[in-house]
Amino acid sequence: MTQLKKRALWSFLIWGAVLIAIVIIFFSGGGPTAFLEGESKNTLSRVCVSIGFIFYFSMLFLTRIRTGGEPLVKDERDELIAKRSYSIGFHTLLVYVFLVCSFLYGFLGFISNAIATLVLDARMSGHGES
Amino acid sequence: MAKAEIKNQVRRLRFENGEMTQQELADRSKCTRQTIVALEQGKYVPSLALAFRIARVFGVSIDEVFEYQE
Repeated sequence: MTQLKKRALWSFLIWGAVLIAIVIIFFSGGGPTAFLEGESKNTLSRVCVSIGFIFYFSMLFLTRIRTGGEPLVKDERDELIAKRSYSIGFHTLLVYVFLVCSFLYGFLGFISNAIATLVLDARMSGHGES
Repeated sequence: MAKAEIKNQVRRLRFENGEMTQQELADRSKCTRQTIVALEQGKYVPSLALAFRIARVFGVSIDEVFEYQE
């Protein structure tokens, strides 16, 4: 198995487990309100993320390319896949952030649209002059 | 990933060269076995450098290994 695939699998397992743990903590016993008010739930979530990072960096260390004698575990195809996956991941995050912001602050878009319409209408309206 | 427009004769050449294994070809052309598998299935188009290295392993010219199909 290539280094890229190995890391992707472990990364999926680690962060998937962290995500499941946080979702369980978030929705157990009261839901979002209880999560915001309950200090222990917050702490537990932070611990989960911290453990995730510890496992993640340990995995990066353990799957590093060792010098000498080891068969090739990474080549140009892996680099291409890595580039494309970083790009897809980044764009997915951007779309997610955009959608969240749109839901939260979408009304600002309506306001700016209304203002722009009024300004453009005023600029493009004649005043009876030829 | 889109199907490659560049066809190759890697599989045939491997067998014509003493049934060379994918791992052996990978080692000699400095890539991973997974790349050879992807190449043979037409799921990956190699860089020019890798294409030259593979052709050199078989002792043939690059256009005997890879051909562009429109």
